[in-house]
Amino acid sequence: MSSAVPTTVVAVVDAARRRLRARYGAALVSFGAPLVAGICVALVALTWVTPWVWPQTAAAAVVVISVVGWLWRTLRQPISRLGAASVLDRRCRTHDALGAGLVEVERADAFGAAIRDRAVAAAEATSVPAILPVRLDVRRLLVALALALIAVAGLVVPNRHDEARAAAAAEQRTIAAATEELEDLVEELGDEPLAEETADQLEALLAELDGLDDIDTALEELRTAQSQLDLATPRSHLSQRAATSGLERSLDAQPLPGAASGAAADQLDQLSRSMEDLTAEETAALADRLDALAATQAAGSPAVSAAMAAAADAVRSGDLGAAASALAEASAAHRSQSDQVERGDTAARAADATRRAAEDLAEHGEGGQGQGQGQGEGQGQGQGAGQGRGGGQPSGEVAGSTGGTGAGQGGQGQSGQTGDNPGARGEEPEVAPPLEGEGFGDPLDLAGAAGGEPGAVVGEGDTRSGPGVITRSQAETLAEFADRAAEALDSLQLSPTDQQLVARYFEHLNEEAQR
Amino acid sequence: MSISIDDYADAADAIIAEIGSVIVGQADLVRDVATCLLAEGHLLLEGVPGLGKTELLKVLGRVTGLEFSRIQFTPDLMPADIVGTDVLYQDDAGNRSFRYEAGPIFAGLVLADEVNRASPKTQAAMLEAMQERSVTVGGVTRDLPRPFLVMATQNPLEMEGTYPLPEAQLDRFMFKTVVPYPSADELEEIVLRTTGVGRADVSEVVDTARLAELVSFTRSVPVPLHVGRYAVDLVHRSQPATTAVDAVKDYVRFGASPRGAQALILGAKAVALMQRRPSVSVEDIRAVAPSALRHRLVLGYEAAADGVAADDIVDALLAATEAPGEGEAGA
Repeated sequence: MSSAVPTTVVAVVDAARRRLRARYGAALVSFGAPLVAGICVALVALTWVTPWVWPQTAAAAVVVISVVGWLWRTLRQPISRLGAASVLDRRCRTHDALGAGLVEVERADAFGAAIRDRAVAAAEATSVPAILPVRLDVRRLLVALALALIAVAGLVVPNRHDEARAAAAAEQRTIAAATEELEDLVEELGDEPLAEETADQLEALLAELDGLDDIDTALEELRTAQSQLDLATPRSHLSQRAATSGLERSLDAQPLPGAASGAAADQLDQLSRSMEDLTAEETAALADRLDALAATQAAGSPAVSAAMAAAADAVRSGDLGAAASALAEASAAHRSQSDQVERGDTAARAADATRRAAEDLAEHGEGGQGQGQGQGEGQGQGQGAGQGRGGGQPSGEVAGSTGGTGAGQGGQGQSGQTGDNPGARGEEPEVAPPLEGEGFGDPLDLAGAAGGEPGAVVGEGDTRSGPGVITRSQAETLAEFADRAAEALDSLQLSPTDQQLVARYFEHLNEEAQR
Repeated sequence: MSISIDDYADAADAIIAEIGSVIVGQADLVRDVATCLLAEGHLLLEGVPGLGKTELLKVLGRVTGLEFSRIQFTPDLMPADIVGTDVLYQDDAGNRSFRYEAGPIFAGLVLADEVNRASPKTQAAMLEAMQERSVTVGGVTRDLPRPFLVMATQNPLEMEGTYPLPEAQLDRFMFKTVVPYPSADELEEIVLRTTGVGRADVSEVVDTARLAELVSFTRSVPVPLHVGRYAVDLVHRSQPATTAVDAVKDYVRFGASPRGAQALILGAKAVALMQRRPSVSVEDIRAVAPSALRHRLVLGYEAAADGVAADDIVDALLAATEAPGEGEAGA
C-alpha cells in the first residue's frame, strides 16, 4: 500500500494554491490600486501649489514601493497545501476529503485506503478554475486608472513652480559636485587609524549636505565645519610638526651612537636599552648630541626636549639608568607628539578640503544672475575671510585698510538682473611656494669691486621672482614653508633662541591663517 | 475486527430505522441517540413531559439487545437505590454475612428517568459509574457491563420539584439533546399510532457483542490534524478568560471542559462513519457541537437577564471560529 499522496490530489491542490495566490494578488490590486493612485494625485497636486521637489519623488516612490510591495506580498503569502485543500473541501462540500488525503497518507489500515480513494475521487471531481476563479474588481480598477491618468497629466503639464524646482535641483547638483572631494577624503581617511575623529566630522557634514538644495545653507554648513576643523588643529601645530619631522630627519641622517638607523622613537628606545655598551667617547658624544637635539625640540616639542636634556645630564653624570629612563620617556613623548601631529595634519587637510568646497560653491553663486546688496568690512594684514554669492548690482561697499583684502558678505542674488559684486567674497592672500631644490638662477655679471678683475663674478642672484611666478594660497603653502624652516633649523647651527624665534613666527602665521 | 465502514453505517441505519418505526419524526434526536449509542457516550434528554423521551430510550433498549434498567429518580431516592448495597444475609445454617445486592446501575443501558428530580447527593452516586464505568460499594469496586450507557431524561429546570444537575455530572454526559415539541403532522401521527389497539413491534438489530464492536470501531476513525485543531479551538474559545468571542465574554462564566472536546471528536467520529466516511470532517464537528457543548457552558446572570441561552452561545462560537479553508487569504 503506497504511503505517498496520490498525484491527482497533489496536482489539484497545487493548482488550487496557484489560484489562491492569484486571487490574493488580484484582491490586493483591487484594494490597493485606487489607494495608491489617490495618493499620487494628492502628491502631484502638491507640485502645483508649492515649489517643493519632494512630492514628485514621493509619488514615484509610492508607485515603486506599491508595486514591489504587492509583488513581494503576493509571492510571499503563505498558502500551504493543507490550507488549499481545506479551501477546496469547504467550497466543494467534500467533508475534508482532500485535507484528510494529505495528512492521513501514512495510515496503512483500511481507513487509510478509504481516505486515499475518497481524496482521489474528490480531486477528480474538482475543477479548480471553476471553483476558484480569479476576478478583478473592474470598477475599482477603473477608478484607479482615472486617478493615475490625472496624476500623469499633472506631472506632464508644466506649471508655475517648475522653474523653481529646476533651480533647486541645479543647486543640489552644484552642492553635490562641490562636495565630491570631501567624499573622496572621507574614503581616504577611513584607512587611517588616527583620522577617525576627523572622518566622523566630515561624514556628519556630508550627511547634512546630502540632498540639500540651497547653496547658502550649504555654505553655512561648510564654513561651520571648517571652523570646527580649524579648531581641531592646535595653534602650535606647525612648530610641533617642524620639531617632530626635524628630529626624524636629524636622526635619520645621523643615528644616535649605539643605535641603528631607523625611526627616531626606535632609536631612542634602542639606545635606552644599550647604554651599558657605549664607550666613554660615545657617551660623551651622546651627551652633546642629546643636548643639541633637545635644543631643536624646545620650541615645538617641550616634553621631548626636556627628556633629552635630562638624558644628556644623566649621561654626563654617569647615571646610565636615569639616562635610559629619560631616553624611554623621550621616545614615548616623541611618539605621542607624532600622533598628535598626524591628527593635526588630517584635520588641516579636512579643513582645507572643506574650505575649497566652500570656495567652489561661492564661485557658483557668483556666476548667478540677480540683484544683490552687499555688505562687507575689510580687515588689514592681507588676510580675510568672508562669504558671499550672487552677482548683481551691488549697493554694498567694502571698507578696508590699505593693503588688506576685503572680507565681507555679499547679498544673495536674485534672478532677473545681472551684475557683479566684487566685495562679496573674501579673498585669501596668495604667496609664492618655497623654492624647490637648489633653485638659484644664472650668475650675474656685476661691476667688480676695487682691485678686482673687470667682469669677475662676485655673487649670485635669484632671478625667479617677478612676473610669471606661480603663486598659491597662503594656507596651502604655509606648511611647506614650515617644513623648509624646520630643515633650515636642523642644518644651520642656530642658537635655541633663534630657533624659537623662527618657530614662533610660523605659529603666528598659522594662527593668522586659521583666523 | 470484522467490520467495515459500510457494515457500520448499515448497522446505524438499521438502528435509526427501527427506532423510527416507533418514534415519529425527531430525526435530530434519533441521530443524537444513535451517535451516543455508537460512541458509548451518555445522553441527557431534556424536554417537557409527554414528548416520548422515555419511550425512545425503551425502544433503544429493545433495538440493541442491551440489558435495560430503569431508575425513576424521585426526591427520596437514595444512592444505595442506584448502586446497590451490602445487606445482611443469613444462610440455612444460621450463619450471617454481608452480601452485595447490585443496584439497577448494573445494566448495559440505564434509563435515568427524570434525573433532575433526585437530590444532588443521589445524583452524585452516578458520577463514578458514568466516568469510570465501575461502582465502589463498601470499599469494593465492581466493573459495570460494557457497553454501558446512561440515557437520562430531565424536565426543564423551571418546572416544579427539580434540582439542577451538578456541573460535574452534566459534564459526564456526552450529549445533551433538547427534545422539541412535535409538529402538527407528527403529533397527528403520534396520536393515531398510540391510541389504537396494536403496538409497534420492535426487533433487535444489533446484539451486545456487535454493539461493542461498533463502539470500538468508532474510536478507530482517524481525525485529520486540522479538524482536531478546529474542535479544540471551539472549546478553547468557549473560555471567557481567553476568548475573543463577545457573546462568551459577556455571558459565560465557565466554558466547556476538556471532556467537551473529547465529546466533539468522539461524536464526530460516529457521525462520519454513519455517513460512510473514513475520517472526521469540520462539518461533523459542527454538527455535534450544539449537543456536545450546550450543557457544558455555565452561563452568568447576564445571560438570564438578556434571555441568552447556551444554544445562542454555541451558535456564536461556531460563527466566530473560522474553519480551515474558510478564510482563503491565509490558506
